[in-house]
Amino acid sequence: MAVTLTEAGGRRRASRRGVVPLAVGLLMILVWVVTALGADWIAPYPPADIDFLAISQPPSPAHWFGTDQLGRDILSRVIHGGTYVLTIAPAATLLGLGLGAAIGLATAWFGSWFDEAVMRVLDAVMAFPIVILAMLALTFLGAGTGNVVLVIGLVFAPLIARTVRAAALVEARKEYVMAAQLRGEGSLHIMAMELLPNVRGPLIVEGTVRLGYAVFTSATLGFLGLGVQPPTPDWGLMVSENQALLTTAPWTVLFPALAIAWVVVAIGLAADGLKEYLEP
Amino acid sequence: MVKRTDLSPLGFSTANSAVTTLGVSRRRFLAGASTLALGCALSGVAPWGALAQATPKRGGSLKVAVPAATSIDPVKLNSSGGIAIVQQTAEYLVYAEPDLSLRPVLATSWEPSEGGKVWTFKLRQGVKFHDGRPMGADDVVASFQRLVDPANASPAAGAMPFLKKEGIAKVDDHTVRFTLDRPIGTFPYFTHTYNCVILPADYAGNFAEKPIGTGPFKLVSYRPQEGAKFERNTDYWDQTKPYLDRLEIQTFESPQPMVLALQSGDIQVVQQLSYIDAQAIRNDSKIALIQADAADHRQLCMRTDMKPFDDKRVRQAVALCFDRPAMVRGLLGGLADVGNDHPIAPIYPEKIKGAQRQANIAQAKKLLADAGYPQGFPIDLYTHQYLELPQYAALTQQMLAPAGIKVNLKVEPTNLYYNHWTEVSFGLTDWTSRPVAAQILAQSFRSTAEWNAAHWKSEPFDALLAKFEAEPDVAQRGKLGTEMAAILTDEVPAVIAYFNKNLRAARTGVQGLTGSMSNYLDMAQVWVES
Amino acid sequence: MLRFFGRRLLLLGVTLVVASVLIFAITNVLPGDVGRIILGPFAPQDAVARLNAELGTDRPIVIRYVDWLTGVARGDWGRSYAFDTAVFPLVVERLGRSLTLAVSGLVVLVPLAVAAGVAAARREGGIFDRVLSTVSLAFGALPEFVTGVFLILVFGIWLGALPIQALPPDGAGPLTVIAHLVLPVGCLVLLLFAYLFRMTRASMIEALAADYTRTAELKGLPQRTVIWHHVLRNALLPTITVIGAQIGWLVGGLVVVETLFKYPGIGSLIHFAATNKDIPLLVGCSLAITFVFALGNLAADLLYAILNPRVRHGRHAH
Repeated sequence: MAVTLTEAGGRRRASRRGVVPLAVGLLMILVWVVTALGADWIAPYPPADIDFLAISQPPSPAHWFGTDQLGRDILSRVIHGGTYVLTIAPAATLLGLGLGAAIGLATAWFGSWFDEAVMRVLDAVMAFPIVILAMLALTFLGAGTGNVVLVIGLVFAPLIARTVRAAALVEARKEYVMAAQLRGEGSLHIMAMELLPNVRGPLIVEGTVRLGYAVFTSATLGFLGLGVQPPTPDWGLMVSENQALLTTAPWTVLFPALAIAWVVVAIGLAADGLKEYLEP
Repeated sequence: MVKRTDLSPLGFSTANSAVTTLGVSRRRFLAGASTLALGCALSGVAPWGALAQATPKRGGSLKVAVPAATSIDPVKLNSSGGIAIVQQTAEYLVYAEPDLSLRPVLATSWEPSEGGKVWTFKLRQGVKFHDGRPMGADDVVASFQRLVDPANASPAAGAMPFLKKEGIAKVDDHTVRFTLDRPIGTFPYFTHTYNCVILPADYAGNFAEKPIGTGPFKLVSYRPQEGAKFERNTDYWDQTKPYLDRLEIQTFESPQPMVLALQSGDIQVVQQLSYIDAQAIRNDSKIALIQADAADHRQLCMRTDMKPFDDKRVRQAVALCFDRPAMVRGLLGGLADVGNDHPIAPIYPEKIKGAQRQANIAQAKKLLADAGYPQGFPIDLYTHQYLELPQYAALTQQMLAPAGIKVNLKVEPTNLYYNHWTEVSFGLTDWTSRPVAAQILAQSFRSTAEWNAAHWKSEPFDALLAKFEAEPDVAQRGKLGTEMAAILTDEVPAVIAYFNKNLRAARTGVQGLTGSMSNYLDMAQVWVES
Repeated sequence: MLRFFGRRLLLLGVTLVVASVLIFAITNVLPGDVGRIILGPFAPQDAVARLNAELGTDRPIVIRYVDWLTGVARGDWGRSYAFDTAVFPLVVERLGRSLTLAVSGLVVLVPLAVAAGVAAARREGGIFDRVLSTVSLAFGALPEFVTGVFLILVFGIWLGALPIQALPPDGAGPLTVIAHLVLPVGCLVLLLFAYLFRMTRASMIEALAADYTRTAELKGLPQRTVIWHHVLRNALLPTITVIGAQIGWLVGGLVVVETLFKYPGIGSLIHFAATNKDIPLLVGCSLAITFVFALGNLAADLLYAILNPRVRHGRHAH
């Protein structure tokens, strides 16, 4: 992996800091965007084609990534299956980040009873098992993929809010915030323009790590009947579906899992690189 | 000695055909061991894994893995894990062996009269409950009255709709008479329904706190989501049994940890596992797989009162799209018998004759065109996340496509599916084995049946079924069954593509373990070879 | 500090009541029939109706809630529908077990992740940083059942070195208990390391670049002192919050780990209760987990207040 390319010397030349991980990360994502868009042309087999003459076969020239228990080509399913990981998971994570950041900044800035009330309500909501939220969404909103984004975003938001609040509390005490306040800037401006940029560190961490969790939460929701469901080719679903085959046909799990890790690592690299690049 | 059974389709089919052609009469009290020996002599493979060649040894302990359990109150019991736990502590009147012969347990003999409307059971003498009190007719009467009393909400009431509280009477201390609403030729098998264990007459619904039965093991403790611990009942009526000193049954919420625990040796027996889960251990030399013929099957039901399946030709077309032998191989590695769209499995003694339906896409297309669907039609197929059902559904999508039927899959979580499974127009449902064919026919295809998911109504069928239920003679039932099967195969309220076999697994050294059509677990016969 | 603590405990009571109302209201509108779930798909409908009447699930939700609340006031948390056993002892036993696993996990995870985070931040973009950042993210993106089965296969089955079932036998000594917990804890660490490590790293990087750090360095203080007294104190604040919020998740959200390692804690219990509409059990579990969440957050806030005394009081008089 290209991580070793960033030599220590790059740290001193500010303009080039972070460029390499950013480029590598973006390239790694681009690979999947291209394959997902061109899946119909690139994939060697239709992803849902069942072939009983080729059940659970290990990787071979005919099936580079092997086949699953119905003889479906894993490579083709992986090529087709990136769409949701590249759309649903980032969308859900972004929603969680947006909501969480808004709540976290507001509670940290306004403090007092507002902070107390909101945080205690979040305490009450945090313990809700995701199964319940999923069933609730399924009953009242339907099984659409948009609702998956909503459920995951709502599950992530309280946790992110707490992190952002903790970071913002430190910042809110600093001179630049006081200065802004003295300039007569409004609360909204201070939260968005002064505090938000200075809690980007924890926000980026939440974003990169939660992206991986979002992939599997959406797979779990799929099994609960919400959003994309088996047997749709989807990396998260493929990993979960083939769980029982982990010991006998590990390739059925390994390749989609690697694909997920690839995307998560890529986004992590890009985010780190971007942050370093933009750093003063 | 437990022989390893090969999971290849060939190995299974030879073992299977040898056994099923025995045609054992159900009223003959065959000892399990001799039947097994016969089956093995014919096939060379131990179909149920158990061969009583070695002398059983007393002592030792075993850990058994079973699926999740909920309540272990025998009256309300429904979970596989709960059933397996209760079966070690409390007993039935009779026990159906893997070949469907009946072994006397708490009843020693039974006799029908009035053409099968009245059944008289003689009870075993000298049987004691775990609290030392003798078991007698009062307890049996009370146990069955408790089950069929509508006030008690027992699933057993649904299995025996012909038995009412007033029909259960004590004749003397060791004789009980069941007077049924109508003749039932195979009534003794119904007393083997999983809820029907004999409990003391004064049982108060608190089995977990006060588990009193007559069984080979005493229940020492039960913990939800963990399991149960047992110790040997030294006062068991069969003084040669049980062989084990201690027994532990662990419940598992999902199958994979079970298989891993078996591989690591943390547990020694897995009571039931699916074909997919068995993959991990089929090549493990320390583990034996035991298979049993069963009547478990999947019903692909089509609402006969709604378009497009209100036309018989459309249903026949669907049935013609399935390549059944390929499904048996592909979905279950050969671990199933091909079905012919009726639920009377080959394991039942009523041997059904009739031509096997073969895949024929051309004919399917013609039937669809005749019915007014030359281009086919789109349809939603509902099923749930359980065993091979999602794969079956995916396969249905592929197999119906050449006929122009575009299947859209709705694979739901189990509880969600069971909320509306009798209402969907196209649904794939799992059915477990019943000890008699009449039970499953009555529950799924009688016009008035609650679980008639196809909403199929046929007067000739209902009339035949009533005769079939009442008929005590196997040969006669075979004729009636063949007529019913012919109607079902022609009308196709449901595609029944195959009958699954049951699997269980044990580490080498575990002896005397038998398979079971209903996944019942009889640990009294099991011993450990050191 | 005492007043702060006292007020939070009082508010905890309010939080628990709110949580119980929410759970009752939500569970009530969810699809699924309790009697049907317990008796199985093939039980007759009249038996199902009878059981529902017996359990009282056919009564209005408000009456059931009041009933439940008066029961709790008398110390009776009701009986589980599905297990037919008292809720309270079951929940308490499971809670204890889950806490054991959560605390064991944190004891291993926190020092490892914080130390690695500090080390990585001091050489941001260095090899150690990049490799650990990438590898930990990749592991964090693997679901528990993949890493868990892998650990079981390697250490439990191939090497036979460690027990794969996390529940120790009755009356086991402390060493046996620890041996049983090694694999699930390893699984948790792999899952959560990236999160804590990156959080510490990010805050450290910011704290290292902050004015007070430069000031301290200019004053000529030794680097050790700077890091321990100035940087870490500030950098750990978000990490502490994250840990506080994770305790609740570690106790209530470990369904997969608990199932895989056969360690029935409160996570599998609440999952069962939710999927089976076992309302008394579900409410009992939810309250226990909410309690842990709230306590974890309270502990984090307290620690935060100690490290950064200015946040205690309602600030920002506008």
